[in-house]
Amino acid sequence: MHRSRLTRAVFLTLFVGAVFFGIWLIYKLGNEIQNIQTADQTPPLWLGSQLPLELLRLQNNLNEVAFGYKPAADVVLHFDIAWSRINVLQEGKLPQILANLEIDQGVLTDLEAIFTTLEPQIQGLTASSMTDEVRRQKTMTILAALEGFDVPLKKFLLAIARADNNARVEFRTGILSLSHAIAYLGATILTLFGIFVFLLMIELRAAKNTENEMRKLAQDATSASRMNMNFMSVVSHELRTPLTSILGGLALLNVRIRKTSTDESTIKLLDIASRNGDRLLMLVNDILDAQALSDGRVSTERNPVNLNEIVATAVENCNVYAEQLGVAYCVTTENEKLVALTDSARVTQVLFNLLSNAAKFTSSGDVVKVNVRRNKQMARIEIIDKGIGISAEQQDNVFSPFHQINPGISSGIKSSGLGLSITKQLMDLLGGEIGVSSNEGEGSMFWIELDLVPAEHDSRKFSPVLLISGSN
Amino acid sequence: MDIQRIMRAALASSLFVLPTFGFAQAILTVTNFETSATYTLEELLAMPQTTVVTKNDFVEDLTTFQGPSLRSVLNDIDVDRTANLKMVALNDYASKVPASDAFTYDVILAVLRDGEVMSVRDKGPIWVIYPMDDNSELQREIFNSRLVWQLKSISVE
Repeated sequence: MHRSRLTRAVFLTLFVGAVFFGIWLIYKLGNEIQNIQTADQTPPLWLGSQLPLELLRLQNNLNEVAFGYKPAADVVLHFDIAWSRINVLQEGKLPQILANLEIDQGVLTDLEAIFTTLEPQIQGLTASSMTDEVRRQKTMTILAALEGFDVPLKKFLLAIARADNNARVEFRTGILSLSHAIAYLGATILTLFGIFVFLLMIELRAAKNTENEMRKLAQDATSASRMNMNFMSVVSHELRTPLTSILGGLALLNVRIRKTSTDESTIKLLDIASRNGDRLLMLVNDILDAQALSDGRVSTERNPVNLNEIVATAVENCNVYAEQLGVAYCVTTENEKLVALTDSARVTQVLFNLLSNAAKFTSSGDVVKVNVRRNKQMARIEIIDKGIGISAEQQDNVFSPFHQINPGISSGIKSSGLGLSITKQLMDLLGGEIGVSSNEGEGSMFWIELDLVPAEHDSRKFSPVLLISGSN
Repeated sequence: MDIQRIMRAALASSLFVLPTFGFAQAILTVTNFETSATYTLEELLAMPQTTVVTKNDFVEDLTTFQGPSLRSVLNDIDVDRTANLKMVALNDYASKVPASDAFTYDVILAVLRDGEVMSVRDKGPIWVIYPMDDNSELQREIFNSRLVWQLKSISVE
């Protein structure tokens, strides 16, 4: 567990690191692209190298004109072209670029000055009145004036070539680092993806482990509780047989003692013994019932039964017990028959549990109300006591096994804590509803609801059956 | 007789004037294989004019260029838009330009810069101008090399 957390932390750190690296790469990539774009927009430096070339051409033309091979107008044109090359280097972005590259532009101004002085002489060459001899002399003068620019122009050219080369190298380096950055970015994205998948796998495995552990725990818990119940069930079975014998023996003894003896203390001792024996038997029966219910061994049969009669029977059965506690039942029923398709024995058991519970929590001399009434398509049976009530938080747990609300205060009679749980399970089995509403200190109302059989059916079909059940 | 003399004189003078006039003034030759056309500065100025106001790497500030569109010149001799053009300058510098540029953008053969004729010293008489300020995609080195100045001829390759 500790190791997996460590791995996860390491990978998470890697992930965050990779993300930051990626962001840095993208930023760098943007810069590189900017550089390359700027390089692409820079006017080409080779334009500078055109100037010496044009100057050479001019000199060439001058020579040819001097020897009469070409008309003088050609010299004028090439003079203009050469001059335009000087102008190109002195206008727009180029002078700034040359300055940035620390290339000496002095040669340009010098050349321009010479050109300005030569201009009238060059124009003069075209004069038709000029003799060839004069023209030759003039061109020689002009050529002489243009000499001496070779070395500085070569230097200028070299500087430009060097700068141009540097710019190219820089451009190439830029492209190279751009491609590197792209490759790194790709690798980073792949790494990120890998880490992500790895983290996901770790998470999945952890989740699977947790799920397995939980399942094992749940299984353990179930089997433990089953073993517990099994143990209880076996013990209860083993207990019931001798207990029945003891209770039978006690009953016989009770009869005999009452006939022969008048010793109050002996009779009292016998009563205590048989009462506790009864309680023990009830406990044992509850445990066996609960076991049977949780194993699904309880079956129900569905017959049309008149719920009014069932309530009457259950109240009658419980009366003996309630009278001992000094509690009476007050039953209110509706005039109409309330017929439900259900198991009469189980409903009786449910009602018996609720009724005896209510009696247990009612103080001597008080009354437990029992209301039977129709609630739309349901029959609702309410059992209302004036006991200690159940607090709101306990109402949620009241139907869970082994739950007890300190019943000893009012009656001194203890129970297994299984009664309401068994009742709830029985109601679930019958497809009915059970619930409780209570105010602490004012009493509780337990209610059950069962589906009613539609009226037209019960009058014709089921009345004979009802008669039979009534005759029971 | 008089008329004959006058006619002869006129013919002689026209023969004398026309070639020099044509030779001196034709500043642009456009060739599409067998067909070709020549233009004088006046003819170029007489064509429908397009004005492009732009900056480029060879001028200091925003400059107004005026001249016929390259498109109209190409249309005159039915140049296909997929053709490749060879533009040659006075110093025989040549630049290859796809004709599609002329059909996509308002490329002009500028003959006036800020309303004035350009001298050879000042990149004249014809400077191919791309409307770079209106189309940022044109602000790249490859288009810089297509700004042919001192343009002499255009031929289809």
